[in-house]
Amino acid sequence: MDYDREFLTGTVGVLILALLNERAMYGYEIVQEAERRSAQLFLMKEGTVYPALHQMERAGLLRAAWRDSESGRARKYYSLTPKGRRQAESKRRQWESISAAMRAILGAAHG
Amino acid sequence: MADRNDVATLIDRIVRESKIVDAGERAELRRELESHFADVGSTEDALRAAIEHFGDPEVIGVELGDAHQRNGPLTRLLRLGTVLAASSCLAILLQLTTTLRVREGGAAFAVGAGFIRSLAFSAMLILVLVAAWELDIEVFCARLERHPVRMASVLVGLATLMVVFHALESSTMPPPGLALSASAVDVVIWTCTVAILARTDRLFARVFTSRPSPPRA
Repeated sequence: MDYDREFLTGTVGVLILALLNERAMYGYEIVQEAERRSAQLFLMKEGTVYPALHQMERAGLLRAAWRDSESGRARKYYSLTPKGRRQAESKRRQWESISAAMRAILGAAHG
Repeated sequence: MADRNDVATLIDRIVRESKIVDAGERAELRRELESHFADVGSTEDALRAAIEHFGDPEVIGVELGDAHQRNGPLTRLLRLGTVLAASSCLAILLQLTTTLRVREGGAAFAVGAGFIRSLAFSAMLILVLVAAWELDIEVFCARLERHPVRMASVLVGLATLMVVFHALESSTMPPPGLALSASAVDVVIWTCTVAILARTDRLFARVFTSRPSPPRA
């Protein structure tokens, strides 16, 4: 499905918080996971993830640590801090509220 | 077709455009980007696709630079000062409202006997909450209004604390209703202080970063 990329503006932070709320991940893994779960709808420019990660780390939402992966290669893993978990929960609630409101409007307009 | 040299050139450009001052942070960024491209594969096609899909190095570099901008000590002080001033004003107002009494004869108002002590306790509570927020101690940072059980526990805990202090000080027990109502005021101060901390953080993040909007998808 072709979609207007404007819809995705501002969602990178929400996506990152939601994915990291499950487990620690590294940048490339976050991109891959977002693409896989959205059935390739979220084809992010991979480079945009890193500024968002660094910004959130600086804001105290994430902590980063270098760890050896199973392949033996060192990767920088990001995980949520307590503040990040609260932010993830808050963003999830906001997103659900917006999504429900949009469904109600679009559903009414369609029906 | 692309090879490792093209990747190295791209990484160089991003790191350069970021203008990150700290050499250690620049080295770590470079290492992270190298790790990213090591993950995408080693064939020329894979590297070419990864470079194309990575995005504009100039834009990414500038956004990374923004993310690494440091707030100076003055900004941090201003943020803390804002929080403390707002929370203290609110605490004074609430404690005044709840302890204000009509004087005998009804001619004037006066604050109750426990006003200064209540205010001192509220000030201490605010300081603890602000310190906990800075240190990210979860138990003090949660929004109590969203966790009714926790809010009730805090209310009972503060009331118990109040009864114990009062008993130690004057060897008498205050009425439980009074302890609970006084603690309810502190619970309101607690929830408002955490809300003020969260909003001030957002406000300062918006005002003191040159690129406040989230990165584009």
